[in-house]
Amino acid sequence: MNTPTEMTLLIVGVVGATSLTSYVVGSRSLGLSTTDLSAAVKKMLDCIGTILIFTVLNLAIGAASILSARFLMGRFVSLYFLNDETWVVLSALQGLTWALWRQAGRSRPSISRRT
Amino acid sequence: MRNSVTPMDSPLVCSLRTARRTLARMPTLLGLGIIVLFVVSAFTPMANVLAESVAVRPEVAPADAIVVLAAGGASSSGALSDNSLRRAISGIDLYLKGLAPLLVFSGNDPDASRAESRIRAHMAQEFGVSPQGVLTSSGANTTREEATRVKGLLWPRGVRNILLVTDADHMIRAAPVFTHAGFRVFAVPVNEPEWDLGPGDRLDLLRGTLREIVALLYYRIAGYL
Repeated sequence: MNTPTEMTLLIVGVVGATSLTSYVVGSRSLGLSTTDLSAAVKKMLDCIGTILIFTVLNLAIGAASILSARFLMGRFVSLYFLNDETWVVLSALQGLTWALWRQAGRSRPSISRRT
Repeated sequence: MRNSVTPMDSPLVCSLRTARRTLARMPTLLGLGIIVLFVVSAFTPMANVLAESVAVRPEVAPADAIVVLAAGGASSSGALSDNSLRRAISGIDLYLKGLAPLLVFSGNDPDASRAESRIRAHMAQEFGVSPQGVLTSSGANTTREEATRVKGLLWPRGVRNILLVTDADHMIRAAPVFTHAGFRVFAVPVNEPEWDLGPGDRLDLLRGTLREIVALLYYRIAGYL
């Protein structure tokens, strides 16, 4: 019988193995710098955090719109509308785009406005 | 050079720069926080511990009526949602065990083909529940409205003690709402979470529990409880 523990071990095992393999391939075969890895992790965390901000923002505005419709227009709209994965997926696209945009701006050589 | 602090900068400029740097670092810190939360939620029993700490204990005892709450309605072809079916079967089971003489099915029932309460009532009769023992309550959009409508249906019949049937996470809010409406509630949560769950099920459990905690908080703030 398959158990949840076996499922957890499979997930952790496979993801751990592909992470290790990609690290070895990146650092040895592709010659990627290992010091750049921490910068990449930081950028990834920045993307995830921005996605979280967009998700919370979208859900808060969604909830406010639903409650406004209920109390101001007297029309019932279910708060369960917020319980849909689409919110997270679209917020992820927004957050990712925003974070990458910011990162692109940072990596471009800055032109000092002070002369 | 723009971000560096020089002796010429005033304390206000310094604190503005510090605030700006902290704000710029916020997404990274939030990202770290959410990944830690994800790992802890998916790979430890944290979701179970949280669900357990807010769960309403099951209490199966003889009562005046069994109240089965609505769950996602029915499709246009008349098929009940999984949750609706699970709750209905649990209610029918309690009735057939003789725990109450009345079985009440609640439902949103937007039209005749998607009348969740009537589809469930029909199903109960197919399982051998007597037509006189089944009541339906329709038109409620929220748990609070369900409590109000069920009270309107059962209060005149002298029903005060009810076996309340709903999902374990929804029971966190439903039991206090029906208690607030004046019923003595014996909670019969269906679909109680297992301890030994896979990562995806743990995340689902956490999401359901957090949703109900937020909803309960909203009910308290709105003065419904």
